[in-house]
Amino acid sequence: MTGEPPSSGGGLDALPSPLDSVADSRAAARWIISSAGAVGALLLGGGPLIAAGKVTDWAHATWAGGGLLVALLGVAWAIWRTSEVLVPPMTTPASLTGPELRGLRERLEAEPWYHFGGYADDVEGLLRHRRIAAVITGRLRTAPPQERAALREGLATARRNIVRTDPYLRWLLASAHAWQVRETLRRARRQTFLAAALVVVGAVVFIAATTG
Amino acid sequence: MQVNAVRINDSGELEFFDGQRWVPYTDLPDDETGPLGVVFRGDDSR
Repeated sequence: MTGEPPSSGGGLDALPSPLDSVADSRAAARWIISSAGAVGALLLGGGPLIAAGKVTDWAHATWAGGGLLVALLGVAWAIWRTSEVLVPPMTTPASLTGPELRGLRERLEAEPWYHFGGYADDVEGLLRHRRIAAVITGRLRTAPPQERAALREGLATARRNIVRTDPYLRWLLASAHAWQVRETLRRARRQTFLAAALVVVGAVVFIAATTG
Repeated sequence: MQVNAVRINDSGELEFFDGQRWVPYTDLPDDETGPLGVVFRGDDSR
């Protein structure tokens, strides 16, 4: 017995990266887009066109055309909104403090010891050291000689603190990236549901107009 | 005062403004455990 604590298996290598979920989110988006495309192909297929050919008056033709247009707009809407999931989001440290990541930030800051270790209580605290290093670097250019030694010492401290906090920051950036993709997919799913309702309404109008 | 502004205090030490007050800027302690992952909303597998 060495008295050493057992390995916790901690560290970045031992945990699945949040980025793993990005591929799953995009696969789900591709599935939704494919399904919407299949519905669109069905709407433009032979059956509806044959049914439209049976319409003999302008009133029913107008209703049928309107219904088909509404249904196709629903399909296009679903594909448009879902395809946003496939657009790579730009994730930077500034993203962590933006309004689009408020949900993630609130979750992290509710249990800061899990996500920031003992280094910070919030995201801003974790990002502080690069900012301070930049401020010190800017001050060094014009600082009076009696302040330069303290500023250089502070800059060295900031660089050491950056090294200590960077693993947390990398993990947060990965989480923020995955969160953005996930939230885009959640919005796309809601929009797809509304678009599906539009497709149903359009299809019902079309069927009523071509069979009435 | 801007958050994270720095100054040299009367004792010659570097301080930064944390949004409410001036705080000495010192080395963080070493933390060998590293970060833990996050649990997404709706995931109750913890």
